[in-house]
Amino acid sequence: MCIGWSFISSCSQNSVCLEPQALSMRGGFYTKDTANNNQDTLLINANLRFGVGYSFYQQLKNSSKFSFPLSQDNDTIEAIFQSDSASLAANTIDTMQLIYRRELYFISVACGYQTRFTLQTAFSTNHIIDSVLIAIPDISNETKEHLKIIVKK
Amino acid sequence: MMTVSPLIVSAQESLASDTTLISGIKKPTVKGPTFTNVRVGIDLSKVASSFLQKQYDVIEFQADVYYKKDLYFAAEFGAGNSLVDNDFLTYKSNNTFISLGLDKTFFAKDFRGDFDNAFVGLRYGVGLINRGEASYSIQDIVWGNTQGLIPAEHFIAHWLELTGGCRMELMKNIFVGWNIRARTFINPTKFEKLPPSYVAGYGRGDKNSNFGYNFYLLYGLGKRR
Repeated sequence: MCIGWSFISSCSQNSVCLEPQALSMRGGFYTKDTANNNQDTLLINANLRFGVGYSFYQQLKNSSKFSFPLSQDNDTIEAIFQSDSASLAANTIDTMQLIYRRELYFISVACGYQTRFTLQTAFSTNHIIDSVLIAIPDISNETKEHLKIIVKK
Repeated sequence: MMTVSPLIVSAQESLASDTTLISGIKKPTVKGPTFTNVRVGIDLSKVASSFLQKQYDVIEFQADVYYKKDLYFAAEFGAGNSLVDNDFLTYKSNNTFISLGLDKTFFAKDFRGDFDNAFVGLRYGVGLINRGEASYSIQDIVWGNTQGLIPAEHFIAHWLELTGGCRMELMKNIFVGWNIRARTFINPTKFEKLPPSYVAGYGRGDKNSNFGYNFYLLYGLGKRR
C-alpha cells in the first residue's frame, strides 16, 4: 500500500529539473560577398575568449558558429576574438563589447529561475572584424542565432 | 344537483400539498427539499501523502448534506503548507481553502436510507495563500553563480473543479468514498512570478490545471429517508 501511495504521490511532485538555467547567446561568422550579402565563413583556427578574466574560450577550427553565456550580474560583457589562436599579434585580435538588458524568468519549481537577455548594442575593434550585427535581440532559447559577426576578407 | 360543502373543499385544499387522492385512497407524495442526512469526513489520501513525503503537509475535510432526490450539497475545506528546498530555489508557503458545490448521484436507492452511490459534481474553490520569501540561485560556471531573493507574497486563488467518484457505507454510519478531480485556476496569472509549490485543495500551484484524487472516510448522522 505504501508503494502504491508513493507512486501516486510521485505524480504530483516536481523535483526533476530538465531545463538549463544558463542560456547561451549563439552567433556566426560571416563575410560580405560582392552583392553585400552575408556569407557563412569558416574560420581556420580562431579563438573566442570570454568569462571572468577571459578564462573560457571556444576554439573555432573550420567552424563558423559559436555560443557562450552572458553575465547574469552585469549588463555588459567583453569577449576577445583571436583570429589566429597561435598568434598574439595585436592586429589579429579584436575586442567585442555587448550591452544588454537582463530579466529574471521563472522556469519551474524544480529549476528555479534563469536570466533572459535582450541585446541592445554590440560593437568591436576592427582589426579583423568588420562589424557586429544583432540578428535576434531576445535570448530566451538556444536555437536561434542572435549575433552575426562580419569579418574582413 | 350535487352541492359541495365549503368545509370539504377547504379540507381537500389543505391536504393537497401532502396527499393525492387516487380512487379514494390517500397515497403519500414525495416531500420537497430535505436536509436530513449529513456526512463529515477526512481525506485519508492526504494524510498518507503528507506522511510519506517531505514536500507538503496537508489536511482536507469534506462535508455533504443530502438535499433531495439525487442531489447533495458538498463542501471541502482544509489547510496545508509546502516546502521547496533544492539547489536552485528555497521557500515555504501555506494556505487554507474552502470549496463548495453540488454532487449528483447516478443510481436510485435500493432501500430506505441507502446512500451507496456514484456521483459527479462541480465545485468552486477559493484559497488564501501565503508564499514566504524565496531565495534562488542560478548556476553559471562561466561568469559565476547568481543568488537573489524574491519577496513574500499573498494570493487569493480561485478555481473550478469537476469531480466524480463513489461512496459506500462500510458499516452503519461509516462511509468510505473516493473521487478524482480535474481542476483549473480561474486566475492563473497571479502565480506567474513564483507559485506556491502545493496548494491544499488544489494541488500543484505551478500548474494552471491539474488532476487530483481523494479517499475519504466519512461519518453520517441524521435521519434516513
